Amino acid sequence: MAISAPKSLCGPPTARIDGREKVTGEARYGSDFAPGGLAWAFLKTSAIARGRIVGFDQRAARAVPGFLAILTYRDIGALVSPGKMMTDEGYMGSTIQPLRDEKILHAGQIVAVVVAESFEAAREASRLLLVRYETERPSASFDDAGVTVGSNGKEDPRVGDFGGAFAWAAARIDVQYETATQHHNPIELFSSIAAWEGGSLTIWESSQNVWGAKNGLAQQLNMSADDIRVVSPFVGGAFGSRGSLTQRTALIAVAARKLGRPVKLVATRDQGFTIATYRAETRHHIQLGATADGKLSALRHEGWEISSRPDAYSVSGTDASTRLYACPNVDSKVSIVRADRNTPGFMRSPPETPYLFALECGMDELAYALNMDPVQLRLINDTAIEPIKGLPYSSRHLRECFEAASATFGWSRRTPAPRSMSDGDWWVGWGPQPPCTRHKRRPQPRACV
Amino acid sequence: MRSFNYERASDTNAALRATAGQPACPATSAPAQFIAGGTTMLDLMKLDTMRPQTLVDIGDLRARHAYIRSDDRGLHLGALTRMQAVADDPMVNRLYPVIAQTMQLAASPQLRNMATLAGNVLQRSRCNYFRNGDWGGCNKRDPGSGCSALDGLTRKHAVLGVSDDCISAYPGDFAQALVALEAAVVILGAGGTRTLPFEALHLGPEHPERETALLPGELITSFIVPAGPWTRRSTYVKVRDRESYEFGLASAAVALQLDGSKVLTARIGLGGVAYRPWRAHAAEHSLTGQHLNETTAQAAARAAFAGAVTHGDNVFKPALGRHTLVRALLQAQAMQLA
Repeated sequence: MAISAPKSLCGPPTARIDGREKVTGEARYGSDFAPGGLAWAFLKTSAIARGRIVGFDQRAARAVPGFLAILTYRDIGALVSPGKMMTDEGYMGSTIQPLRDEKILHAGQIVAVVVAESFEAAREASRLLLVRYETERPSASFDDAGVTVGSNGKEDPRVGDFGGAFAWAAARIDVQYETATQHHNPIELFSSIAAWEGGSLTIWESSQNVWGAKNGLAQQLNMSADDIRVVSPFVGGAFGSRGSLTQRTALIAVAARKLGRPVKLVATRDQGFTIATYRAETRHHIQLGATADGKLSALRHEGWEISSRPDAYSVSGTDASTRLYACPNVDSKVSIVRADRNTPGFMRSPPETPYLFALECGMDELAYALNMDPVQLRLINDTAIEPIKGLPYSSRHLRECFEAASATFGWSRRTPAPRSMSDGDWWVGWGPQPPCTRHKRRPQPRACV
Repeated sequence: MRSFNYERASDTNAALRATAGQPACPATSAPAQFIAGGTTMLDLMKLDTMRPQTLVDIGDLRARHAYIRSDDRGLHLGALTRMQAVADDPMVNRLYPVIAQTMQLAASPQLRNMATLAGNVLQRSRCNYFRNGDWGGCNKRDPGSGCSALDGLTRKHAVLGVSDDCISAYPGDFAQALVALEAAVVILGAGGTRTLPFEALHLGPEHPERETALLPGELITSFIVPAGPWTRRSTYVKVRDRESYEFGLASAAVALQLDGSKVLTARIGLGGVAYRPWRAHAAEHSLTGQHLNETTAQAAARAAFAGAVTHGDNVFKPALGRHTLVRALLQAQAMQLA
């Protein structure tokens, strides 16, 4: 396959510093380390999505050759603190701390850590460990009766009089969109190795944030961060999933301390969907009003996001979607819908992607209603100041971007009628989707030495 | 871990001896199981869905049972032929393109280089409730435990040939070509060799745990695809969530014998939508003697899905299946045969 030469924007080709190690298999990832005397952990995860554990039958599991230990909420409890969310000045991706008590807050929640002399023995014992549940009917997503809807606790951007402007707009669209759940479940599985030497803990774990992991573990395990070392020479893939600390790591650290030997966990692929974060499904109501010549006069964006019962993780993308185009009358609202789910989290920045998807679909529908080229509509509404507070952008190159892309792509050759363009066997349509991400500026902190 | 014995059979006699005297039970739950490419058996063992006590490796039988031959009677495929060998074979591509295409569109290159033809037709359901025992009942896995899929996530489940006991979809591609081309399967057992129509190999959902007509210890040795004037004008269309390394949501294996635009013979197998490899007899009848065009193709597709039963998420499948079949029929019609 021919690889096209990088365009000048990408600069000259540069060899990756770690490229050779990665393609030859020399690179050692988090789970590739093997401290002496290693024991293996396997996670037992919940078969129900809501309810409580009423008992365990450990007999068959304990009879597996090589079995070492089972840790349940009866063994862990308050030994580990849940920590605080990274979005709340903490380090965690979720404060649902498994093995704290008998409650089950989502499907696939960790209900036991089984440790044995080999991975296979730990897996086998985990399968033989029987967990008895008292099941309650879960509410797992939008439209389920038991979810609760509340504010995201942030200020919703608004300016002017949306209602009046929308009512009088020459062209109007009023549409709803939704985005599906998306998981970052990288090829490199979620894994942790914990080893103690006296009071010092070493963790080998693929991490985008080793200092966060160190500080978060110190809080969870009630020890000094100075006594914790987190080793992560390579990250095989993360997409946001390895920025915040998951609850698994502290459990493996406690298992290693209890057994007095290093413990390694490599969670399974399907466990990766429930023990780590993900991008939850979202819903959007977009209302756009414009003058006959395409100037936006009214914009309203209401969004709903799924989160877990205890954590209000929020993408809150109306910050971006209300500030991308010039519009004098803007209203917005974001609601967090709490369901029996694991907590969502950072995934594939920019985080406001689902909101921009909805806004831009709405802009396309508005262009259609106005019988206007969709790129033209966006250029008409280009602006040098954001419409909510009238602040200048630190950088904005939407017009240059559209002009360059249109020329490169051959936008002028586009025909908008359905089934009027094809690519091989496929009917195709072209549409624009401008990228955008927020960057916050803060005053320079002053350090006193 | 769950330990098991591993044996290697040097020839078919040794393979039969190693699996002799098994209890009367569904072949998939027999204590001794054959393993060839291993691409699905190892997965199912790691998932604890299959729990053989003995694995009999029949890889050494490739010396005699991996071949691709064609003669006046048809195409002869050894059971241990690798999928990739069929995908790449020029003769198969020319004379039986639908068979080559079912290989080219299946799995990944790595899997095709390991997996064998008999293993491919015997691959088991991809239903998550079957493969993961944590999530409630599965009649295929634990007979009588119920079917969690009925009110569960059913995007990939079947709409044809299903029952209230099981709605899982047969996942393979090759089998749709075999069922369309009226292939036969040759089976070796303790009592000697028997030959079954391929359509009779996979059973219906009356007993979901009993998937095929194979008895414990029986071994598929070859497939015979009869020659016919329809095999060259044949094609496989597979529609899926991504364009490679993915099971079909709907697929159609089609072979046509045409006189101008008039259909003399139509052979149709449907995948991704049915409980087992699925011959669309009603659609074939509706086309025979007709001029093939979009209208008659749509009528045939409606006939194929007349009995469809949907559950929740898979409500889209009859329509997707119909469109897929229409596309396959028109693509086969448009083929330029040298």
